[in-house]
Amino acid sequence: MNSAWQIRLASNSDLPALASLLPNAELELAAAMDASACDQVLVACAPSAPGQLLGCIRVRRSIGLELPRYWYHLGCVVHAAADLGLFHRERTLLLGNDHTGACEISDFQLDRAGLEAVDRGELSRVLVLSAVRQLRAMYGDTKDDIRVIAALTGHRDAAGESPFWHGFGAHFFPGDAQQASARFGHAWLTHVAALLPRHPIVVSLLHARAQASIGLVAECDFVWRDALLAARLRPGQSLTLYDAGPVYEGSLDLLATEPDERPTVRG
Amino acid sequence: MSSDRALYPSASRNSGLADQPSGAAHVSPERFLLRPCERDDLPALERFAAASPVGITTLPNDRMMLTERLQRSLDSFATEDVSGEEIYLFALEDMHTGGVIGISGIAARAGFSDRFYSFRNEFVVHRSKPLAVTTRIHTLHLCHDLTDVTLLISFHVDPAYVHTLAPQLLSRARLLFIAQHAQRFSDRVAAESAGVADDNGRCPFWDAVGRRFFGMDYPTVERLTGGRSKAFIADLMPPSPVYVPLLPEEAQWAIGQLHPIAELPFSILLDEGFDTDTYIDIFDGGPTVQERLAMLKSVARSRIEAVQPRLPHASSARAPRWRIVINTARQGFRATLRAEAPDAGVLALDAHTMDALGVQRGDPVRVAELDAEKLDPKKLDAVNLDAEKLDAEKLDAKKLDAKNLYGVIPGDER
Repeated sequence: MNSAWQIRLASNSDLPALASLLPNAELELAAAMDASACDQVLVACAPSAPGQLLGCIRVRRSIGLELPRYWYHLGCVVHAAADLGLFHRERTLLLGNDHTGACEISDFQLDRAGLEAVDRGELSRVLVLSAVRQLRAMYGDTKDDIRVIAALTGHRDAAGESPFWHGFGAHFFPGDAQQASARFGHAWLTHVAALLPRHPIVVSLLHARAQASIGLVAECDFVWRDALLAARLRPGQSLTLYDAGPVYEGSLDLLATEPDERPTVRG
Repeated sequence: MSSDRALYPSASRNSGLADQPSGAAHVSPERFLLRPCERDDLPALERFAAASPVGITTLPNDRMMLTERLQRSLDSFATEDVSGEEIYLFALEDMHTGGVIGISGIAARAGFSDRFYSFRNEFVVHRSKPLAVTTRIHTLHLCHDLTDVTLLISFHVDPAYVHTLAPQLLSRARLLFIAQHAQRFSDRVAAESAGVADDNGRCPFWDAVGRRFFGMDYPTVERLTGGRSKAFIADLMPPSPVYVPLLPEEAQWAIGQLHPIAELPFSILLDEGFDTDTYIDIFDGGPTVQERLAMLKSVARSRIEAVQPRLPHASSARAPRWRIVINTARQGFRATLRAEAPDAGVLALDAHTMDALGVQRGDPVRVAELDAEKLDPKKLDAVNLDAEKLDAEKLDAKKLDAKNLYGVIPGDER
C-alpha cells in the first residue's frame, strides 16, 4: 500500500477537479459539498499535491427516500410441462426500488493518467475501505442491519455504448441517453424509469447482445470490482438500468474496514 | 327428413370430391344446402384437412382423429344433455352435384374443462415529466377472457365456390343455428384466425415468442396440440405481458395479421360485426374475433316465419336480396339460400325448398337477409358477387384502421 496517499473529505475547492473526474455528477457533487452527513465524497491525493486528486469515492446513507431509485431485479421463472418433456428456466427482469433506504458507495473514479497500473488497484481498495469506515462513522453504534450497495459499470461495446440499453431501454425512451445523463446526472435514471416496463421481462425475449451483457462488468471497473470484493461486498440479484451492471451488496457490520481484516462473525 | 338428392342427383355425393361448378358466375345460390356432417362425409373432411395449412388445428389431418371428431359431432347434435364439450360440424352440399363443397363448425364452449388462452392487446402510456416524454407501448397480455365462449371453427370451402354465395351460407348459417339453440351455447361468440406462416409452417410470431419457451418449431407444436386443449402449451408461456417493441420487427408486423387463406371467412365475420382488435392467437398471432351473439348482423336481422307452400303456378314474390333460411331442427338441421321475401309472418316456399329444408306447412323457419345488391330478375340464377365486393371494401378499410391502431392487419376465423 502506498502510505503516501491522503484520504480526506472533499471540500468546495475540490469541485473543479472532481468535475473532471466525474463529469456527469457535477450537480449532485455540488450538493454533496454542503457537508451533509448523509452524502459525502472522499478524495485521495498525494500530500505533496493536496489539490491534485488521484481518485474519489462517494458514500450516501438512506438512498431513494427523497428521489426514488430504481434497479432491475434479476429473477427466475420455471416453465415445466411433464407431458411435453419440457423444462425451461427463464431469467426475468423486474423494475423495482429494492435498495431504497440502503447506503451506497458510488462515484468511484481514479485519475488513471496520474497513477501507475499497480497503484490503481491499491488506491481503489484504499478508497473502498475508507468509504466503509466513513459509513460506519455515519451510523455510529446502531445495531440495525445496514445494507450497503455499490453498482458497477456494465458492459460497453467498442464505441462505449451499452448493448443492454440499445436492446432494451432504448425501445422505451426515444431520446438520447447521454444527453439526458449529462443534463440530469444520476437522476436521469429515476426519470427514465417512469418510461420502462413495470411488468417482469423474460430475458430470452431481448436481443442476444442485450442478454449477453447482463451482469457483466466494464473493463474500466475491474479494479473497483476487486476492491469491493476485498471489502466483502458480493454481487446480488440487482442490475443497473442503463447497462445492466451488477450491484454489489453487503451488510455494513460484516464489511472489512482494513486490509487483511479477518471476517466478522455475526453473533 | 327428405333431401333434395332426388332433385339434384349426382353419383359423386359421398365421394368427398365435389364436382366443379360449370361456371361460378352461373351457380345458383339455391343449390346450396347446409346440414350436419354425416358419417359418409369423412372423405370430404379428409380432403379439407389435407389441404389445411399449419394453424388449422381443429381439423387434424389424421383419419382416426377425424373419425373421432365426426362421431363427437354426431353425438353433439343428438344429445339432449349438453355439457359444453359439444362440437357441431356442418357440411355444405351442392345439391346440383351432390358433392360436399365446404365444412364449418361450432365448439360449444372454448377451453371446455380447461382454460382458453389468448393474448389481449393493450396499450400502456408511460410519461416522464422531467424528460418531457410520453410513450404509448403496445403490450400483449396472456388471458383467459374467452374461456367458455362459443367458438366458430373449421371453416373450409372448395376453392371453386369461393366466388359464390356458398361461403356466406357456410359461415352465417352457423350463427343462426346458435341463435336457434341458444341454450346450448354461450351468448358470446369467438373465432380464431390463421396467422402468418409460410408454406413450411415457419411463423414469425411463434419464432419470436413461443419458440423461446418451447425450443421447437410451430408445426411440431401443432402436432402436439392437435385435437387437444392448447392450455397445456399455454401454461408454459410467460404470465407477464409481452412488450411488443421488444419483439423483432417481423414478429411485430405479424401481430393480428391474416394468413391469406383466412381473408374470405374473416371478411364475413367482419361484416357480421365481430370485434377484431382485442385478441390474438397466442401461437401465430392471428386475430381472434369475438362479439355478443345478439349483436351480430345475421342474428339481429333474423325473424321466425311460418312456412306456406307456394302454388306451382303462383308468381314468386322475389325480393331484391338473398336470404338465409334455416329450419329449427337440431339433428335435422338444414339451411339454404332463397330470394323469397316473407310477407306478414309467412314465407312462401316451393315444394323443392320445403323438401330440402324438411319443413311442412306452418313449420317455423328462421330467415335472415343477406347484404347483397338487388337481384337482376333476368339473372336469378346468377351469383351475386357484389356482396363480396362490399365485404372486400370493408375489409380494406378495417385493415387501414388496424394499421393506424397498432401497425398490423386483423384477420378472420380459423
